[in-house]
Amino acid sequence: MAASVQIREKNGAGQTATDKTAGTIRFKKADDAGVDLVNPLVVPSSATEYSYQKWLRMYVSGGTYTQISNLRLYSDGANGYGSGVKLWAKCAAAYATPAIPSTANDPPQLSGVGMADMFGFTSGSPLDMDDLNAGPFDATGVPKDIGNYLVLVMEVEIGTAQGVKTAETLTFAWDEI
Amino acid sequence: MPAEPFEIQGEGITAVGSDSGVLVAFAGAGHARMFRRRAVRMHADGSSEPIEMLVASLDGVRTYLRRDACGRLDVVVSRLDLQP
Repeated sequence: MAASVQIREKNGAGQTATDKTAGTIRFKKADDAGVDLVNPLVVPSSATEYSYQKWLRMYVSGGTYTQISNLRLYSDGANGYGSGVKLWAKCAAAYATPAIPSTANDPPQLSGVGMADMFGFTSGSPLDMDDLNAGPFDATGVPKDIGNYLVLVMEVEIGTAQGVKTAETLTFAWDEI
Repeated sequence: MPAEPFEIQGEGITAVGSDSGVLVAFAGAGHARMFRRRAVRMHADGSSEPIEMLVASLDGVRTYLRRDACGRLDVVVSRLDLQP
């Protein structure tokens, strides 16, 4: 039997967790895990529009394993959202209540450092998800969170077409013995 | 996706991986390991696809193996974009 690993979205000051392993992450102007049309991003008439940050983390809910290591995240390498919509990513070691980044910075920043294009992370060049909270992660204390926090922000630029955008694919990978 | 996880029977120069019948073993000297590389792919439609491959690693060089349509552990995945 292998480890049971979930991808969970964290919201609020208390990092309330929602299992998104088989779900959708909706970027919007509110800090909640709901996949709805409440608080949508608005196409700006000037500057740019950022969503609330989405904080995600891998979580071992159970299973039998010795250790997990080499956590990575990647996209398919192609932005399928359409013109004017971008997805930014950066890792964090510790949780902070999700917020909307300042539009004074483009790309948006996390802890004073610019975030990176999520679609620049591919299977051949993935985002390191266990450099800040280093593995390997053994089975002690399961269920438990493992690895870095992943912070994502969606940007909508002037002139973007309205409407719900085509969703994208994210892949979380790890070694397991 | 494999119905069951690969069986990993060791670590080191005697490492052996199995899918309940087909064995993969190292025959040379070096630092060898066998382990699973697993992934969760969160698809655009909201579905989730678990991916699992057996990794045979010799001195840090990885070879990825997965099962074929018949469940046999005999496909070496050399394309980087198909490796989890």
